[in-house]
Amino acid sequence: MNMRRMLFIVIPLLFILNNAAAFFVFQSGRTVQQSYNMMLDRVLLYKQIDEKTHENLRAINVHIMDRTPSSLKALEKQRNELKALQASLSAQQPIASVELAVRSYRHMLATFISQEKSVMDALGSRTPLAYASFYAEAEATAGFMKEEAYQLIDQELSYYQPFYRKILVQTEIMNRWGIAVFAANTVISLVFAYWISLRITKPIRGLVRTAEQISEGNLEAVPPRMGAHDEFRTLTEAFQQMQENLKLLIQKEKEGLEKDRIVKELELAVLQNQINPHFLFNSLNVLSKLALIEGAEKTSDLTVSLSNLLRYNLRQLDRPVPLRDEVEHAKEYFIIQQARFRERIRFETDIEEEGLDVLVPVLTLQPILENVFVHAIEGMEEGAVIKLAVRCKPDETWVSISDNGAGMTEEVRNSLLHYDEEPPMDRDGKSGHSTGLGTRNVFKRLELFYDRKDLVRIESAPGAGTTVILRLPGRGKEENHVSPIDRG
Amino acid sequence: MSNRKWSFGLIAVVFIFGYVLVRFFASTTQVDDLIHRMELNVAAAPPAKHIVLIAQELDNPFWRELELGADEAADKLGMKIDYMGPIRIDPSEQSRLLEKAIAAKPDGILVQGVGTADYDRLIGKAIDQGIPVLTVDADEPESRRLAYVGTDNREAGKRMGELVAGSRGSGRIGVIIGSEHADNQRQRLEGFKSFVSKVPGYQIVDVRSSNISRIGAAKQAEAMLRQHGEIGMIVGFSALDAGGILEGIKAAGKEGVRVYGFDDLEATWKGIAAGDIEASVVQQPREIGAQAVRLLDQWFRGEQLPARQFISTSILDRKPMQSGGTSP
Repeated sequence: MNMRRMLFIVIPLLFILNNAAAFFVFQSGRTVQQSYNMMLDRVLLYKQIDEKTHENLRAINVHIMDRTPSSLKALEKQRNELKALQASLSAQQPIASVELAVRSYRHMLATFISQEKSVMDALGSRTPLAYASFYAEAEATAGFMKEEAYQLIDQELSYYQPFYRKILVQTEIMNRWGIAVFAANTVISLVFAYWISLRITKPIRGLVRTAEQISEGNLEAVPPRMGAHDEFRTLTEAFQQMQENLKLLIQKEKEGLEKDRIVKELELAVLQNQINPHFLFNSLNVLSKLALIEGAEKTSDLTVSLSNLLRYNLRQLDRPVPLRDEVEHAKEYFIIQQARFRERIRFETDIEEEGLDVLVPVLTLQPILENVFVHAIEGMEEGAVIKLAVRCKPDETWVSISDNGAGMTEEVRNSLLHYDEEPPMDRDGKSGHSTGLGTRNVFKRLELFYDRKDLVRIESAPGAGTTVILRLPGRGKEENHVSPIDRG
Repeated sequence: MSNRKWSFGLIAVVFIFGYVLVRFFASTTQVDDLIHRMELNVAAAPPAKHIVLIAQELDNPFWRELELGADEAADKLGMKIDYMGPIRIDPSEQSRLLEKAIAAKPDGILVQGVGTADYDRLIGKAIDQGIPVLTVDADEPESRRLAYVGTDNREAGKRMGELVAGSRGSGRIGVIIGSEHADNQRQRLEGFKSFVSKVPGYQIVDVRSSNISRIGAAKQAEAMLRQHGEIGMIVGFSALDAGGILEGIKAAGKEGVRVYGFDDLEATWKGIAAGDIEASVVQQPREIGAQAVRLLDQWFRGEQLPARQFISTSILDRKPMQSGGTSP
């Protein structure tokens, strides 16, 4: 039952109940009163007739004495009043036990009225004392009537007496139960009222408590359980639904954040994945010394180069370096590669010294060179040329790395340039890890570092070699206006 | 608090309320019922004929018997008896009651004859107003009453004479009568005298009036015995006399005086059982009352009434101790 319907039923019900109880108490009181009146009316009527009869006698007397029209008028008036009483007496239904007495009384009254008339007729006649005997008779009848009236009243009362005693007892009982009805009614009303208010306030209190808990941050707060199918249940269910939605939203948000964090961590890991442990680096120093002692100078130099390379690689990644260092590092790297490829490769540099002071992220050139060695040069038997050029342009420094190797397809070129996307698989099934993961990394870091996207250009075609051009904003000694510290 | 507890609580409260309500309604309906019953008696009022019966004395057993007989007959014939009478025997009150009854214009009046001119006049007045008047127990022959219903008092007196004559012992008789004016007493005495005078050896020595009172009877009996020591039996002609006579005899210190009484009052009846009273002539008041009502009914149906309707008497003595004597 919903709340509104319940209130709609219970409140009028209580109202009707209250009124009905009051009405019945009132009604039964009235019935008792009516019965009292019924008897009293009768008794009063007998008494009244008796009194009126005597007033009539007195009026006759007065008229006999003075015989004036005014006293006659008064007598007429009295007579009419008596006749009116006679009419109401005959209209009355007497109770059975006094029926005879009432009949007698009625007849006596009729007798009296006729005797009265005889008196008045006699008064009008010529015989002077003709009225006397009639008057005596009327007087006697009035006397009988008085007697009869008292007897009648007595009989009526003794007839009613047992009834009234019983009625009094019953009325007493009735009154007591009437009070009990009122008391019970009050109790029931109070209980109902309390119950209804509880039914309304309890769920509200529960909801408020839950809402407070949620606003304090406890999303797990359990909303109150509603037994009945009413508005509060709907409200609670809606509340619960909202809570669930909120939880889901927060969960999603958390997941998003977590994903971002993992991506960052991954990036970092990737950026550091070339870092080699320290001991390797120390071992290389030992190797270099050993080679020198044993007279293998070339090996020693190579080892030193490798060591330098490693040392450079272990630098802090978030600290930018001058392009000069990068170029030096590239040369070092080349020397090591040359130890492997020997005469097959040639390294050419064409560097404008002014451009070497521009700041770049560390390890910008090496991964590109690595890519060249791995993909472009590896298959060539001889005559492979790798060229590193630095050109100063207005506001920019261009760095280009070109080879005369295998070149790349348009597809590979695009995948390199769109370094934000997942790298596709290579045709030969090798994972993208070697296919320019370092290169992409470089491109991405350049973008992050300069906050620009158009810094990289690749010119290549299969069999025609590849040229990677990096456009580095800023020239030579000019200090970069963005603090590198702020760079993520 | 759990829902179930609430439900139980509410149901309990509702039940208590219902119980209280039911009790309240029960008492209400009881009151209603009482009032209804009171009013029901009002509605039922078939117009029965109103018959006034004026007794000699209100609580006299003889008259009560008569009323009972009249009542029983009236019930069957659609009449109602309005019984009234003086508290102590008082002929003037009887007249007054008759006058009052006439003023109330009943359908019929049953009276005891009193034997006064005033009474005759009142009966005439009632007849003039169309109210039938019958005399019971004692007649009012001078009046215009329609009929007399009662004992043939002359005959009853004769029966008393037969009783007395049948006994042995002194034939000197003392007589106590209720009233010298009352017709029934006089007739009884006449009947008695007419019988006794024919029987040799029996003689009425003295006649006195008890004024229809037991004390009066006792006094008269005592005085009689003191005056006439030779009296061998005393006869009482009204119902209270026999008991009074016994007292009088005791007071006079006499023994062996035989007593005869009238009717069967308790004192008489006990006296007969104890052997102090020889016998009693018993009237049938119940039958008188019933017969009077029957006659009134005949009158209402337009039939002529016999001037006199006698009701037989019986003899109550020690031998059979049963009523039902035959009428002569």
